Amino acid sequence: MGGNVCFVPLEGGELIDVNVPNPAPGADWVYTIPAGYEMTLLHTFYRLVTDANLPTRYPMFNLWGVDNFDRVRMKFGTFIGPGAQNNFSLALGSARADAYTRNTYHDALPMMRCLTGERWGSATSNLQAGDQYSLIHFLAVRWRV
Amino acid sequence: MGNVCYVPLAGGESVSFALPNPAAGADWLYTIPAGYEYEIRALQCKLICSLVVADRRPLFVIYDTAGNDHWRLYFSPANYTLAGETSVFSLYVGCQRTDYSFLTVVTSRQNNDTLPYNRLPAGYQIGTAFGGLDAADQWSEIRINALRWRV
Repeated sequence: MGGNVCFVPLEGGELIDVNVPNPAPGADWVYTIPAGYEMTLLHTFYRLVTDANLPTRYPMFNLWGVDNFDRVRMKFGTFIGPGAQNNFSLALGSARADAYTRNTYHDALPMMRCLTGERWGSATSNLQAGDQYSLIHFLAVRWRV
Repeated sequence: MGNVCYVPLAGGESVSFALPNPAAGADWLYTIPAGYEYEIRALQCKLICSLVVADRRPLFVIYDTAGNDHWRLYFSPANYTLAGETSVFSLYVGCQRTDYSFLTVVTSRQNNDTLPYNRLPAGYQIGTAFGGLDAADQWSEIRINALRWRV
């Protein structure tokens, strides 16, 4: 305390708290970095409730470039069956890797500064028509570019 | 020693403080005060469990200003705190222990895990949301170290 202390964040940027609307049933959720910004995702929480259809769902979290090719894939090793409720809690700096505790997936987010038009979100194999993503929240730092 | 910068170039000010105990049987939450952003670097807290047998389920959380979950950290069932135990949780950025629980003596447990990198705006909360707390369970010795910025 005291002395020559800079009291503002020198990494710059502003914190942005986003609640992503629920996608349609049977669809993954995706967020696109808006025009004029770059963003670093700090943490995200979301939920998947599966319908009664039997196929095994394979959850994954992705970050895509503007060319629609993925830059990061995070496939989870615990699969999801019918009639289940699962949470995802992913955070920058988490030391848990592919961890699954009390129906909650934990893992670390990559340290990336994503460009306008790049995207992040779920990419679930075998998602069924009645499966529903919800409670999708994240906090990010964004810069105007 | 040439041109050395003697001030922290990351900016911000380091703060270290303790929170008052919540009521018996209640969880604790710390709210980021107005006018600041906080990076919580470390938190430690102690739970003294009553002798009542209950299914105490450790859970640490970050909530946004509307109370939405932004982060949950569960400990696995093998690491639950039990009746009559005193359990210290020490979470910090950079910790390499995950879901770690060590019974130092029969009734004293030490737990570790990682805090994610975080920069929390005013009104966000960080703390506990245990399931199955007994009415006589007591949190105490709640201590936080953080870096904060004025915004």
